[in-house]
Amino acid sequence: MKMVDKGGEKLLEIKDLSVRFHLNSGLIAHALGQDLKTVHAVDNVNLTIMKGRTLGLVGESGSGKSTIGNAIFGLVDVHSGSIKFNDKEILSKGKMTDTGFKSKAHFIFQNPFSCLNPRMTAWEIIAEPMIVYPDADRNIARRVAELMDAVKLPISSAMKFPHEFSGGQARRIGLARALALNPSFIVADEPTSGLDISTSATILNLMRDMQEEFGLTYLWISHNLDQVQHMSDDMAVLYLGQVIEFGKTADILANMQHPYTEALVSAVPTIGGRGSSKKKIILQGEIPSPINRPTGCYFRTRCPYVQTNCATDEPELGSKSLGQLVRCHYPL
Amino acid sequence: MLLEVNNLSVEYNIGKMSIPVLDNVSFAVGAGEIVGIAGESGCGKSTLGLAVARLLPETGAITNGQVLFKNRDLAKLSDREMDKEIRGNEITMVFQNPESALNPVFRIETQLNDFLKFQETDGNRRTKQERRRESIRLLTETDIADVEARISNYPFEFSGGMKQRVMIAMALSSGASLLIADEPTTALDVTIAAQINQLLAKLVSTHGCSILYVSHDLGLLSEICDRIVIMYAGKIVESGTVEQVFGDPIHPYTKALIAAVPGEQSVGNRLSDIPGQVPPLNKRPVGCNFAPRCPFAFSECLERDPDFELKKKSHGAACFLEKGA
Amino acid sequence: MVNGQRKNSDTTMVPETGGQDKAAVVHMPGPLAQQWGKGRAVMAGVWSSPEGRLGLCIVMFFIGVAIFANFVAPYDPYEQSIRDRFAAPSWAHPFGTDYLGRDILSRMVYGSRTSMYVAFGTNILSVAVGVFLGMLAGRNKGNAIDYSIILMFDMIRSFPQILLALAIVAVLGPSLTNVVLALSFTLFPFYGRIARTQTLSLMEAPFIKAGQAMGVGTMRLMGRHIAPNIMAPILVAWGMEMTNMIIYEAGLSFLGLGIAPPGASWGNMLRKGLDSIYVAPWMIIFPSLVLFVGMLGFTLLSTGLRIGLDPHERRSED
Repeated sequence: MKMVDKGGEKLLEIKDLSVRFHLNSGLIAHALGQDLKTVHAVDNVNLTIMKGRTLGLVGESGSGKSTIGNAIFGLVDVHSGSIKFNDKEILSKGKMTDTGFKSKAHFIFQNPFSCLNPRMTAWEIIAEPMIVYPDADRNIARRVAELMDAVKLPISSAMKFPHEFSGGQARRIGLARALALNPSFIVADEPTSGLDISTSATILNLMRDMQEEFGLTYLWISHNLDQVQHMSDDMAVLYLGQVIEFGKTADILANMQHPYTEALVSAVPTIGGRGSSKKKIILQGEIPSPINRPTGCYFRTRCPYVQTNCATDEPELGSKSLGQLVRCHYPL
Repeated sequence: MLLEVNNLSVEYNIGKMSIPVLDNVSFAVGAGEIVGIAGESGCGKSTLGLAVARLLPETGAITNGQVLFKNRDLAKLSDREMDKEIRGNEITMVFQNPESALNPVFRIETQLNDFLKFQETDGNRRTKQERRRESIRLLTETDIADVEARISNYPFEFSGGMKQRVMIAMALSSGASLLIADEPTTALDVTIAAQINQLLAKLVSTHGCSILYVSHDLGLLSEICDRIVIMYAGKIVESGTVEQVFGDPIHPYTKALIAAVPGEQSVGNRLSDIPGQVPPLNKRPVGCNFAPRCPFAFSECLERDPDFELKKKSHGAACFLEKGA
Repeated sequence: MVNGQRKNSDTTMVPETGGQDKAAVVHMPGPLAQQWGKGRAVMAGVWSSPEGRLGLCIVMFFIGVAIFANFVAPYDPYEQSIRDRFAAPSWAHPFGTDYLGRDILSRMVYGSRTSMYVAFGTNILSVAVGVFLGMLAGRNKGNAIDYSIILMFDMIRSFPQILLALAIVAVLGPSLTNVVLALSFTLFPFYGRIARTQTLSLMEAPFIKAGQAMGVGTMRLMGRHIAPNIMAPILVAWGMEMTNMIIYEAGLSFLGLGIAPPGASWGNMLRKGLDSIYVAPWMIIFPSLVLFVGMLGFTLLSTGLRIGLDPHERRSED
């Protein structure tokens, strides 16, 4: 099933992506006769990100959302599937090939401090992409100054080490580094994690400004639905490695079709409640282990609307209304 | 009032410096009430929770004020008295990190057994079987599935949400009248956090205990709390019922904070961010702490520090603006 | 103010912004100036701690003595005087004389050359090779490169260190340089193992993954990101190994496979002094004392370096 293409350019296309982690694969486990346990972190995921738009990836633990981000940048081995950037395949036999993708895309990690080398100054951190991909016409010092300016970091702090900055400032260093090579695509994994409300607001505003000024496309990975609602144009909801709902953010939130989406939205607390018409749905039970997933529909163990065939038949991604995909036998 | 905190001030002494972390804080918690303490990092909300339970680190000290719990001033009690009579009996705490109360090398049933044993006085010693039954009852009450089997698990076999339930069960077992919860669901998944918060609310109605809920998540506090206190740089800047504070905020900081949270109302627009930074606690400005960042500040704000004043019935703020921002 | 060299021509002038004083102009130092500034910052860090200060002073003192031996030593270390042999410490001979009447102080001064050469030479070589291989192994965990490097480490370490060194020197021929090579060969797996373990845990760190996600190549990843962050335990080990190497050199020299007599080294003076301990105890006391001070110096310096290299300890100029 394809999303309706409004004539926009496809920047990133993920097809049938699967990522698996094997536990007990070492020699000793083998000798002890332990079963090979496989974590199906990402299971046949299809996603399309259009140029200039923001796709929000929403899910809880075990959903695979961070793993997808890692897979795009070759940080985990891919079991099967393809990832195309600007129509060029960037994977080969499960590993990333060197197509210069990394100079046109950047990954922003969760914790604002730990993604910065504690023994490098802010200057060196921001300059690093320019050293990895050198360009004779470029004056690095000048560019670093430009970048610090773009993210509103005082240039006098260029020689400081990461631990001398506040959380919001450390995040900005990461953003300046992300912009260094004028990328077209940025994957942001929980970019405001660990930040206060007001600092988060500043960073969100900054990232929106960056998107407008530099024509960026974002893959926004977050568990925070409010943030995703605010920032993203399109949204994909993940559960245990599968996409269970996909479409425009506004459409999905106005008309949730998957029971999990409904429960997720209902569970996110908002100031003043989320419209009195929506009842509060509290799911029972725990998120199943990604090693031992339920048969049939993975969500059936917690679904308030579960029916008998949900345990035997695996639902496919289907379309009940135009432009919205949902993986459910009985969409709402 | 179950708990009445009056003019509480707390300082941390690090080396030669003494840093005021809480400055003249006053609020109250009634029986069966959930009161939220909200604020960003560094505002002192966690310190407030610790101070009430008298669990401040060695470097911290209550320098002024009272903590009246059932009309006893906890600030004046010795550590030993707190241990024997208050902590674990009347006041219990639930922390952010679900692992914090559980020893990883002992089974859950062993830990619960020890915990219950500790609460017994010589008069009513129970047998191990009785304690096991009690443990099962407590864990069932906190909605842990399959309790009989899982009670013999080790903590690592429990998920984050389940560990928090064990913490809550332990807190309940003492029959405490005040539960101090410091970001209990921040480390949990959204749907699990919703379960835990629903559980806490249920316990308030069935057990009649009160909760002092410390969190930075305004949405969460607005849904679960009856009343809320907003803190900034060690002081209370606004307090009132949830409807009052979120529906009609008085203090400019409260307004700014609410406007900074993304959601339905902010789609497509910029979020309102607050320029500047929280002042370092040992270098606070003369006058109102928030004045340097306040869009409504006028000359008096830079000279005098406003006291907390009730502007409407039970809704007050520490601000010179007459009718609020 | 920005940390950097004014007179360095690779600075760039850029306007200061970030919402602060727009009129200010700030020097943005280029990469060279930054490295120079960092070197100075490390030295400042070392100097800032009492351990670092004392250690640096002691080590610099010994290095100075080694370099300027000609000027420092009161006598010719080879000058024998049978009349004065086994002379107790006196104003003429502050450390006494040995069994051939040679001044012990002068021999210690010249001996510092040998010992410093062996200690520094061996350790620098071992650290360079060992840390490089260790990082390579850790970076490639689980594959053939890792396994072969570990195998090499373990094979070498299964031999008693001194015997292995003996065998190598016996093959290469007795000379100080060969002693350095032999001892380095026995020592590098020690550092390598430490480096590998540290690298393994560091590979999970987000900033390493960030580097990989940016396309940072293996060499730069190892040199710029991994190496600086694993140096702490390496430095601690280094402090101890410096003196060990001096003592090993003594053993080799004693067996005629190191510096040949009448050459002086602290180690071989220790050996010789042991024989005459009842007759002239100063022959062993003073070399031992000097060795003790040296060991102290190296250990303190390694602590100081560890502190100096830790960015948390360093303050940027403000």
